[in-house]
Amino acid sequence: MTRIKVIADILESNARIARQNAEIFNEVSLYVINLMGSPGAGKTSLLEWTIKALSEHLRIGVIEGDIQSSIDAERISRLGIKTVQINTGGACHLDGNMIRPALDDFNLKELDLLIVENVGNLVCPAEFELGEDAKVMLLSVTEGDDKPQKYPLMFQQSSVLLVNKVDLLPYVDCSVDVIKEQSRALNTAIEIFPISCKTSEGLEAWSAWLKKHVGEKRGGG
Amino acid sequence: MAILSFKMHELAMAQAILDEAQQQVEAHRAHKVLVIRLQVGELSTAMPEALTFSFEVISKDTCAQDAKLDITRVPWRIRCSSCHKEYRVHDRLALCPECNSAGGETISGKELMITEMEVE
Repeated sequence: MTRIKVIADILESNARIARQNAEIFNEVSLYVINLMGSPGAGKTSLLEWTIKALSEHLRIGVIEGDIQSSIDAERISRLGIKTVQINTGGACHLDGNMIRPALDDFNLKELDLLIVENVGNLVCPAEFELGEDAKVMLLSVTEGDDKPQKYPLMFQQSSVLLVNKVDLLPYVDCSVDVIKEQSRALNTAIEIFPISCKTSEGLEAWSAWLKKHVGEKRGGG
Repeated sequence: MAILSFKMHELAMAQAILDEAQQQVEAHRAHKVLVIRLQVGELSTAMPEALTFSFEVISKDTCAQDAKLDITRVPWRIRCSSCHKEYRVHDRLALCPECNSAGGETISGKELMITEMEVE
């Protein structure tokens, strides 16, 4: 019997593919976000709003990840945006390898922003890098303010937290202050925007954030 | 097979463990993997039971089919952002036991590592 010291990161093979994806994106100065959140948090509605607000200024592409169906891709395509649907067939997250073939369907040089909508799930999407510039997490107030405590990794890995459906706050027992406090306890750098895709409240701040970061990458700075 | 479709992230992790085990067997001219020691942080989304089950399924008929996964959970530890005290988090994020501040930098608990293997 031989004992071998190994020290290998189990997720390294995915991380390697994610780094290759990041190189592909960096070569054409394309800003990429990995949009994560529960089923029904409003990810596709957020995409629709963001596209309507920014498509005059930015060339946007979308990859939709779902276990089944092309419902989301159809919704986004209606806005005249190039959209590729990935059906994971049961897998609970997208990984670096899964998005690679979808990249061939885009002319990446002609895009400023690529948004990858991950499978609706607060668990494993946090753990699998895609090669994105930023992880953006969407949480809706109807899900409750205990989510940072229940799904800490997701909040730790995200650069931005959008708290959606704030128009429903009078009807639910959820405190945006509690969400903010607990999210920052897990991740001091996280940027938090309370929003409503229904009333457009707070969305200007989000689109300003997005424009700034896309601009910085395109400007090479 | 229901577990497999709902726990696909453990299946992907199990595949990566098997790949590493097969490479090590080849590199050390061994023929069989006996034990694979893993560190899985408490923050990791990998569930040890699902990881073990996934590994059993995919390692069948390979050099690692009888290998035991020896999984050590690594506690979630935080360095307080105010007083820099390091403390363990039990169950959920609480206030710093020293200065009562909320949160800080996670210094362990995200591990998902192979640390050692026994082969023959």
